[in-house]
Amino acid sequence: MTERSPAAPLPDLQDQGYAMPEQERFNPFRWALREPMGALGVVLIVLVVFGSFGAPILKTTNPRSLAAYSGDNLAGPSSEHFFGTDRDGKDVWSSVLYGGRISLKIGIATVIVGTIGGTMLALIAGFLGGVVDFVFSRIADILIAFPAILFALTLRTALGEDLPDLPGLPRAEFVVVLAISLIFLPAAFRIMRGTVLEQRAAQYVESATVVGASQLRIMLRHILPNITGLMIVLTSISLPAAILTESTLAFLLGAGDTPSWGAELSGDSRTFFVRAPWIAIFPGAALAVTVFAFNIFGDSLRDTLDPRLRGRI
Amino acid sequence: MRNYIIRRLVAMPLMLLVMSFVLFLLLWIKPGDAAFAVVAGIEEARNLDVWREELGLDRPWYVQYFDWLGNVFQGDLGDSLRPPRNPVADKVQERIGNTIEIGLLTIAISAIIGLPIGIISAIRRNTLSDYTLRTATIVGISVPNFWTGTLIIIFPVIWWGWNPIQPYTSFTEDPLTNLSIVIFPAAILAYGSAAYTARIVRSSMLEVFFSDYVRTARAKGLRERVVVMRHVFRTSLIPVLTVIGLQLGAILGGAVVAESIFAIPGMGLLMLESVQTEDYPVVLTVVLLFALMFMIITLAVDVLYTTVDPRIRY
Amino acid sequence: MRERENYWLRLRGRKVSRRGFLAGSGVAAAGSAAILAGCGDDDDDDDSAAPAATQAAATQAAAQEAEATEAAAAEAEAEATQAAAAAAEEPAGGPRRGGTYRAWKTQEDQGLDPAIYHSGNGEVTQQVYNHLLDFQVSKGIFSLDAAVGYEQVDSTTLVWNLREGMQFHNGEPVTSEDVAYTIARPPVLYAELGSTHQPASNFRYLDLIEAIDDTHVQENWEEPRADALIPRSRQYFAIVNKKLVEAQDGKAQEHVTGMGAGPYILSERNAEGTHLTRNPNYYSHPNPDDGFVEDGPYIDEIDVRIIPDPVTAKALLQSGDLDAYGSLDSLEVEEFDDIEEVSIEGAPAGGWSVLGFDGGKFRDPRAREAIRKAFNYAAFIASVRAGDGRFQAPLTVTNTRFQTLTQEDLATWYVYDPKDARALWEAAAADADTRGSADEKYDKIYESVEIHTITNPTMQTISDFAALSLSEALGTEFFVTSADGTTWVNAATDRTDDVKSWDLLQSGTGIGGGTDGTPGTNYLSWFDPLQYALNAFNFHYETPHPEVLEGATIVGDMMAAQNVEFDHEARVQIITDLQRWILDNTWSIFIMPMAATAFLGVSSRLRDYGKDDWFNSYSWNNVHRRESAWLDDA
Repeated sequence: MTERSPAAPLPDLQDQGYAMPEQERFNPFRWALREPMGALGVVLIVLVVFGSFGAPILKTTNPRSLAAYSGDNLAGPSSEHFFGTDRDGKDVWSSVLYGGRISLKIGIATVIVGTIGGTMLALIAGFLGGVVDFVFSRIADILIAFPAILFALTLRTALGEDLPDLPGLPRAEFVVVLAISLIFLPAAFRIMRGTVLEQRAAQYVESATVVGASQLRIMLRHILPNITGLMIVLTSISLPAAILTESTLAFLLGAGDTPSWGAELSGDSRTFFVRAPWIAIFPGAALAVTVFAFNIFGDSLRDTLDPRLRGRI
Repeated sequence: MRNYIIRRLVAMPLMLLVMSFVLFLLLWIKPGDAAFAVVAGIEEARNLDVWREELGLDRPWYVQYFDWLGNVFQGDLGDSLRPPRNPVADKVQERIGNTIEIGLLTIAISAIIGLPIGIISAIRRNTLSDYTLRTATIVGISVPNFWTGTLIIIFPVIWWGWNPIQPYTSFTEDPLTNLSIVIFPAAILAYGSAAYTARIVRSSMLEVFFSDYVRTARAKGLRERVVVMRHVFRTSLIPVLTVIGLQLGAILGGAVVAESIFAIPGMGLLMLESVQTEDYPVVLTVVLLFALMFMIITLAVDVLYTTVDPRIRY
Repeated sequence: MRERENYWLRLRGRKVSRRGFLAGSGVAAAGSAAILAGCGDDDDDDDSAAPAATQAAATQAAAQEAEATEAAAAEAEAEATQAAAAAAEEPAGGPRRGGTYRAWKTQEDQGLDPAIYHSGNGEVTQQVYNHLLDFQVSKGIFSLDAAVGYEQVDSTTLVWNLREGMQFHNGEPVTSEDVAYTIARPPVLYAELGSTHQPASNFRYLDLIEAIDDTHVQENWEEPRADALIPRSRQYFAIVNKKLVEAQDGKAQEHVTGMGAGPYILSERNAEGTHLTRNPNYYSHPNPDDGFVEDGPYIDEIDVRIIPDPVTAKALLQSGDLDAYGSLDSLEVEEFDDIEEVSIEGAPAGGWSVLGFDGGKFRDPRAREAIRKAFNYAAFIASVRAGDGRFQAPLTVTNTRFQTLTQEDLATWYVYDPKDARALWEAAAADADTRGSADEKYDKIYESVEIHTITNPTMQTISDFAALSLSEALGTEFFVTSADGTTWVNAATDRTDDVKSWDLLQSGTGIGGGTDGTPGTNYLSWFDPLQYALNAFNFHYETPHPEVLEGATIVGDMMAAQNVEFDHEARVQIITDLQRWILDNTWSIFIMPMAATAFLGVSSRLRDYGKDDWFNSYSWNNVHRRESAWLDDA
C-alpha cells in the first residue's frame, strides 16, 4: 500500500529520557515506575490469567456439568453465586472464569497464527525477495482489502464443517481462530516485511554475508532477534483485538459451541439485561478489563521496546 | 506520480478478480447450497434438485463462476438466489446510501472526538489529563460495540419510555429525521474508532515532538501553539490519515452490527443475510464493492500524503 | 336465510366429544369460556340418525355451529356482532375503526406465493389473500370467509358455495374458476417443486376440482379424507387470481396487485419492510362469524418492519412503538410489570423440542428406551424451562380435539431412571459387540453420540443439557455440534447414505408453537414413514433393518387409518393407540419437556386479537388475521 520513500528520520530518543533496551539492563521496578499504565496492565493480565486457569479451585462449578444447573434461575449476586446465576440457573462466576479460558485461548491462538505466522512469512518474503516476495505481498494486499468482519463471517460459515478437531482446539474454536487470523495475518505481514527489509539493508547483515554466513543463519540468528521486540508489541496489541473480534462474530452468527466471553455477552444476557444485568455486566467487565489491560500493556511495551513504532501500530 | 496512480488503478480490477474467485470458492465449499437456504426448514428439503435447477446451482462450480463473471463484465450483477430473485443491483442500490451515510458520519464524529483528545494527550503527556483521556479512549476500544448499542437501545426506554429507533426514513425524504436515526449507530461506531484515532494522533505527535526540526522551530522562538499546530500536527497527520482511511474498512464491518441493532436496511445486513443463505451473487457484489471502496480510499490517502508531506514521492 | 344455517340444523346431531375438548385440560385455563361453550350441547347427540356425509362434515366442523347458537357463551362472537351493529356510532369502549397495526419480522420475505412456503411472508399470505374458511383451533370452530357454505355430499365429494360479489384488488371478480384453480394448484406445484410446506402426498387424495356453476366448486377425491376443511383455511389455499398466476407459470412469487382479494392491499414492500393498506373494495360479511366484521376489518393499515435484532423489537414494544412482539420467555414477563404500553398474555404452549434418532443406529428399541430413561426431566424443567414445563405427547396438547393423554398418563413414560437406562444401554451395546464390523457404521453410537443442533442459544442450551444428562447416566460420551440453519437442514435431510452424519438431531425450542388442528400433517408427521420419519430419521419402509420396517409399517398403517376415519371418536381412538405405541417404543424421536405456558407480548391498545390462536394460526411476523381486532386509541 504505502511505502515512505525516505525512511522517516529516527528521533534522538535517548536525549528525551527514553531508554533503548539494549543499552540498559531491564529493571522491572524502574519500568513500572516509568510506565505506571503498563504496570497496571501487567497486574490485570496476571489476575485474568490466574482466574481463567485457576478456575477449578476458585469455588466454581464447571458449566459443562449437570451440577451447573442450580435450579435457581436469574438469581442475583450472593455469597453462594458471587456473580449471580443466568437464565438456566448456571453460576455466572464460573461461566466467566471458564469463558476466560476460551477467550484467552482464541486470542492466543489467533496471534500465534496471525502475528507470529505473519512475521515468519515476512521473514521469508523479505529475505528471499523476488517472486516469493511479490506473490506474498499481493496476497496480503488482497486479504487486507476484504472488509474484515465480513470476511470472517464468510470464512466462519464456509469452513464451519470442514475443519478437523485439533488437540485442545475443537473445530468450533479452530474456525473462529482461522477466520480472525486471516484478518490479522496480512497486516502483521506488511508491518514486519518493512522491518525485515530495513534490517536486511543494515550493516550487520552485510558483514555477516561477507563472513560467509548462510541465508538461513542470517535470517534466524541475526534478523529474527532484531525484530522480536516489534513482534511482541504487535502480539500484545493484536490479542485484545482478536478477543473483541471473536465476541462480535459470536454476536452476529451465534457462538456455536464456544462458550467464550463473547458468547456470554450475546445471547440471553442481552435478552435479560433489564431483569438480570449481572449476566451481562460480569462477563462484559471481564472482557473489557482484559482488552484494556493488554492495550495499556502493549502501549507501554511499544514505548519501551521500540518507540519508532509510534504512529504505526 | 501519475504512473504510480495508473499502476494502482490497473491493479484494482485484477485484485477484485482474484477476490471474487476466492470468495466464490469459499461459498462453494460450504456444505449445502443456496437451494437449501431457499427452502429453509426441515419440511422444505424435498426435491432440492428442482430448486437447484431453477437457481442454476446444478451446473459445475466453474460454469457458475464464469457465467457470473461474464455477466458482470457486461454490467449485469445478476439476480439474488433468494426468491423473489430481485436483481442484485437493485438490492445494493436500495441500501448502499444508508451504509455510506453511517460510514461518513462515523468518520466525522470519530475525527471530531479523536483528534483533540489525541492532541491534548500528546501535549500534556504523562499528566493526569493524559492518563484520564487515554484511559477513556482505551475503554472505548475495550467495550464491544454491540454492547454499547444494546445499552442505548435498552436504557432510554426504561428511563424515559423513549426509543432511539424510529421507522427508517431516508435522507432524501426527510434529512432531519434521517440524521436523528443515523446519529446513534454512527456515534457508537465512532466511540470505538475515535479511540484508535486518538491513540495514533497521540503517539505520532509524540514522535514528531522529539524531532530535530521541531526543536529548531522552538529554537527559532515560535510560539508553542504554532509549533504544535503547524509543525507537529501537520507532520503527524500522515499516520492519522492512514488510520482514518483504514478504519473505513473496520467501520464498514461495524456497520453490520449497527445496522442489525438499529434496524437500518444497509449493506452490512444484506451481507450478513446473504452469507448465511449462500446467496453468492449478492455476497460477491457486496464484498467486492466494499473492497473497491477500500482500495480507492487507500489510494486517495496515499495521494494525500504527498500534499501533507512533500518529501513523499511516488 | 343463510345456507350455513341449514348446515347447523343438519349438524345438530353431530358428535362433539366433551372428552376431546377437555383433554390436556391445561388449555382450559386460557380459553375456557370458549371451549366449554363448544361442548354445550353434546348431550343431545343423535348420531344414529345422521347420514355418513353429515357425520363427516360434522366432525370436521367441530364446535362451530353449536357455538353459533350458544349466544351466552360465544362471548367473542357476540362482542363482534354487537360491535358491527354499533360500528357507526363508535361508542366509547367498543371497537373503533382506523389506526395502523405495527408488527415486525427479522428478515425480508423470500417470495410471496401463498402456496409455497417462504419465510417472512405471513402478513401477505394472511391479509392480502382471503380463504374459504378460517379455522380457530382453540375453539374448534370454522368461520366462513369466501365460502358461505359447504357440503360433504359423500365421503369423496365436497361442494363449496361461494360468497357473491367478491373482487380481486384490481377490480376483477373472484369467480368459481379462480377458486377451483386455487384448490387444484398446490398439489400440482408440490409435485413439481417438491419442496413446500406440505408434502405432495398430503394432497394426493385430490382428484378433479371443478367449478360447477358461478358460485359452486366441487372437489372430487380419490379416497375419503377426514381433514379436508382445515387445510382449506391455511395459507396455501389462499384464493388466487387464476389469470395473473398462470401468467407466471402457475406461481405467484412476484406479487402483482390483483392476485389476491383479501382485506388489505400490499402497498409497499422494500428493505425496510412491508406496508398494507385497507382494500376499499373488500366484500362484506353479512352476519359475520367470529373474527369477522360485516364491513371489513377495523384496522386501516398494517406496517411490518424488518428488525433483525429481537432485543431491539422488545425495546420498541416497551416504548409503545410496536403492537405485537410474539413469544416471550417466562422469565422475561416480570420485566413488563410496570409498563403500561404492554399487556402480557399467557396461553398454553404447543412448542416442541425433540431429539430425533437416526433409525439406522438407534434400531435397537433398548437404546431408544435408554435415552428416554437417562434424561433428567426434573432438572430440565427446573433449569431450561425455568420451572414452567410439562411433558409433551406425540400429538401436541394444544390440539385438544385429538389429545386424550394427560400429564399423568405421560408421566408413566417420562421417568428418569439412570440405573435402568444404563442397563438397557449396556445390553444393547453388548449385542452390538457381537455383530462385528459389517454393522460398524450403525453401531458406533455405543462409543460416542453426536447431538446435532442449530446455532441458537435456546437450542444449544437444550442440547447441552441433554448431552450432560445422557452422558452421565449412560456412561457413553454424548457431545453437541451445531451449525447454521441451512447447514443443519442439509445434515438432517441428507439421504445419500442410510446413516446420518449425526446420531441425534435436536430440533425445536419447545417454546410457543402451535398446531393447525390436523394431527396427521402436523405433529404426527414426525413419526410418519412418509414424512419426517423418512426424510430425517430413517424410520421408513426402505430401511435395511427388519425391526425398523416392522415399526414403520405399524405406524404407517395407523396414520393412514386415522386419515380416512370420519368418526371423531373412532379417529381419536386410533390416534391415542398410535401415540401409546410411539411412546412405548420411543419411536423416531424422543420428545423433551416443553414450556407449559407461552407468553405473548402485545401493546395494550390492541383488542380482540385472538390470543389463543396466535400461535396456532402460525401468525408469522406477528400478524394474525382477525378482522375484528381493533386498536383502542384509533
